[in-house]
Amino acid sequence: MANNNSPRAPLQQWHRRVGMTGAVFFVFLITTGLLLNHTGALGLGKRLIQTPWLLDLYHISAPEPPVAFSAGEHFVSRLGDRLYLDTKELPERGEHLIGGLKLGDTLLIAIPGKLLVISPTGELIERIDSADGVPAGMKRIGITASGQLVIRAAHGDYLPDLEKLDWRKSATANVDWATPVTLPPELEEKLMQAYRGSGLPLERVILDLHSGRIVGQWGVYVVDGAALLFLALVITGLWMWAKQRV
Amino acid sequence: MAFPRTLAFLALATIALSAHSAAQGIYQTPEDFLREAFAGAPPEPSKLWIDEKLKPGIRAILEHDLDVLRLRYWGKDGRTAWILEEIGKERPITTGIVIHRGAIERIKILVFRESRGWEVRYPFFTDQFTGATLGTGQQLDRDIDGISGATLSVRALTKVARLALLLHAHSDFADGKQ
Repeated sequence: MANNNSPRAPLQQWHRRVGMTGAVFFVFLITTGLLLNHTGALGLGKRLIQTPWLLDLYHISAPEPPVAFSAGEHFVSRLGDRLYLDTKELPERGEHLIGGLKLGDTLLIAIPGKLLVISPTGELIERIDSADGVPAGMKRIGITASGQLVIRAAHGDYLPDLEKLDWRKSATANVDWATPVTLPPELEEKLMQAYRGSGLPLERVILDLHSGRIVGQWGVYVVDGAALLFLALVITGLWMWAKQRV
Repeated sequence: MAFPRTLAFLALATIALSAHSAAQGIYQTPEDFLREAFAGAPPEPSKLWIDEKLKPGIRAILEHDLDVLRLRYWGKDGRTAWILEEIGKERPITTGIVIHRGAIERIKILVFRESRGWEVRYPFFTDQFTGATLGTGQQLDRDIDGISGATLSVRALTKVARLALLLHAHSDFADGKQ
């Protein structure tokens, strides 16, 4: 039992109070620190945050509005530089979406310098680019009544044979050009959520919790304060231990 | 003296910039490469589907999956030509490869986009691949001498050489399939 008349008593009381006050912080810092130490094993970098209020806290918002084209029963859209088939993100980025349409059993997406052949389930079948002869300066893509693809490019209209990679130039009438459409509200909402939910890994949140940055600069000061308390505990603890030995 | 120092700096900057611009460029268009590979008359392109049987081999060579399900190639009389891309350090290197009866006949850098490692385009390096076949463990049957300062480009080129040999073996023009 501590002797209150001892010269060490005020220091012991202070040490105890600081320890009790800082306990919550210490547990918190130790837990987040341990989690960060095993980021790879726990896959924290791959787990993406989907919680709306946390995404709001990080000011992660989707750029508006999405550019979309109807392709059969699907929608092809671009949000920022990301491309989607319905809500599935495609493994290709593009700053501009020229068009999208259904071509036979597949879907075709045109972005500058490239045509993407996509399966109805959103797998990238093939990427056809300028090395394969895609005409420069694509402006629109469309389809004739007989199902022939038409590309309007900088130097005229082309009727390509994508099987043979043959790019015939030809003037064509009665083309159903791919034109931007408005997405159904529920799909647009899901798309926004998919866009927002693909940019914030759990590792980032834990790192910011550990440093206090999650609540801004004041959070960092609070964690600094906790660190100073911890330092004070070490010093006072060592001091009392040294005095006991004398 | 400030003036000679400025001149020296400008000279060095000019050399550095010209070396940088020399590194990047289109050395041959894929169309010209194919025309050359098939004596002016390239065949119609064929398609190779990347099925579940082929995926593990591709993954073992590239250390990642291909992000497409189908590749184009050009084939005739036991020869196939492939236009393949692989990232050296940051940007893809476009390479043309001709395989004849399971061995590399020709390999050429068509488009180089990296800022370093362009030495891999020179024949002193690419000639090492001529005649190479796929040995055990999907490795080339010979050692390829590296180039200091171009390690990642050398690695990328070796990977696409192995990949082309693997793809050729699964093509319609592989030995025993015609």
